[in-house]
Amino acid sequence: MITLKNVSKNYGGLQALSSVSLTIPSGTVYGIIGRSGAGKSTLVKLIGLLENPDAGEIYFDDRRVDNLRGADLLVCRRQFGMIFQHFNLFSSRDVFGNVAYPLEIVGKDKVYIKDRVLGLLELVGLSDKAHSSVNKLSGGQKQRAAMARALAVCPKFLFCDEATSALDPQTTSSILQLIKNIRNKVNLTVVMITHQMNVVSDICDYVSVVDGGKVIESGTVKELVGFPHSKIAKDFVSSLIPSYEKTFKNLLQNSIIFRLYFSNDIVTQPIVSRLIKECQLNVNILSGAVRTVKDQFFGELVLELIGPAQDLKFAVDKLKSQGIVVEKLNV
Amino acid sequence: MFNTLQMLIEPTLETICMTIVSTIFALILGFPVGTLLCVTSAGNLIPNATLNSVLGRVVNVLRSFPFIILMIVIFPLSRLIVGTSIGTAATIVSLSFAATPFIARIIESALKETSSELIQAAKAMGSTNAQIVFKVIIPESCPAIVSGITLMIITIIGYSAMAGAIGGGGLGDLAIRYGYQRFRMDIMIWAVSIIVIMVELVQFLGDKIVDKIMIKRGMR
Repeated sequence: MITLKNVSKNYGGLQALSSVSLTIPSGTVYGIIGRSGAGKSTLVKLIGLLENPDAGEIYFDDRRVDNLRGADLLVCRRQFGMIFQHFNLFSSRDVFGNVAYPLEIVGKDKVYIKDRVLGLLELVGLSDKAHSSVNKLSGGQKQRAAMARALAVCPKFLFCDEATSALDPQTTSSILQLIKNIRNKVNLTVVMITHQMNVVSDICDYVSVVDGGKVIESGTVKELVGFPHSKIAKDFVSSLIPSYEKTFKNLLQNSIIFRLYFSNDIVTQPIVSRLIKECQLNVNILSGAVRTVKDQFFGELVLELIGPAQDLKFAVDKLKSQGIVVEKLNV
Repeated sequence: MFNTLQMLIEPTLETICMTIVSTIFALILGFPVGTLLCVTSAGNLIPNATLNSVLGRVVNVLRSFPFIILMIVIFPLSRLIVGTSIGTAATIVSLSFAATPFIARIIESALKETSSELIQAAKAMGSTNAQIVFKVIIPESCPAIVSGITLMIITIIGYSAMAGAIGGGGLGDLAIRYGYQRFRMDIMIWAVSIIVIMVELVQFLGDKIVDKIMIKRGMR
């Protein structure tokens, strides 16, 4: 378990993180999503013990780690693995040498290293590339090599810092699949720091949305996708399907457009015809989609509602009372 | 003709010897200084502004000395170390000291090419600072270090020829004493030609080694 308590970090007047509290349960895949400049990189540096917070505390399994120094700090850093957007492999070493590095620095003997490295390369599907130069690998292969290197020391935690951001969609899903497979084999807590909502919905159990150095919203991925509260969370959720928001705004400047989010049993209900029958409204369907995240259904509808103001208010209240999130798109 | 060639053999060997030995000494002295300059710079492994600026100043002052003046300044030191201030051994002392600040800067800039992201990754894995320097920064900078050393050897060959002007031995000495002072144009041309060939050879070998490393690393 990783716990952050009121963690703040300031860079020369710029408040990168202000009073962030998070609990990352053991054995889960925890997503931290935010736009660039939201404070994600700072968060990585802090939980990666590369920098100290100005205020607040960080715990790995009840052990305070943000104030460690010297040898304690080194030992603690060896408990987690890290993978990066730009892989950060050593050009001076081949694939084998890269994976062997974290074992070399803790003084493991050669026989153990060889055994472990070959096992890891098999796990990530790079057995035939052991003695290739890392610069000759494709992006996906580089990230696999980096993953093998991160797992070499049997870490309790794996931190993925925008690990799929430099990869194409297919390679991204193969890397995510690999993370899932590994997590099924070994007990590992994974922290995914990303700006890609599809990564979160594909692999994460929990997610925190960060913006402006603060945690805006936290919860299970199901909750976030089904019932996003903040503006930024809604933006991330709607990024899962193509957004026509701008088109609507330009096309229908004088009309009133709502976006509806709903999940599970509501998906199967006749929302639109009820609006027409029970609220006496004219309804124009602009877009609609139902998607599955972890075996649950999530629906999104964009509707133009036409009718008197009091009827519109009545309709919105009625929708909300059914557990539908309603967002007015234009004013 | 035969006589001329015979006259060339010893100075050529002297120049080669001076260059090799001075390079080794300059590396022994300059490599650690360059490494310190790199790792203590702002945002690097162990930032230390005071140490960095003091070291940087000393290196700059030494580098701004014209070599011929530096040699004369170092004469007493040469006398102390090798017992004389003329000849090959004395020149090696001067060359080593003259080349030290030069190689320090070359090593510094070569090592600085290692990306800070890579250093952070090594740090996150729990590497000690020494492990980062010896297992990451230096191996990663290998091509730049080799081309830097190539440049340094060529500079030392040039310096050693200059040392001839103040009784330093080697091909420079020969060129001045015979070629210039006794108007032996043929010896002058021979001496200069041998120096040119040496420089070409060193450059060729240096480039070859860099090429080999780059190919091995899949970067070319």
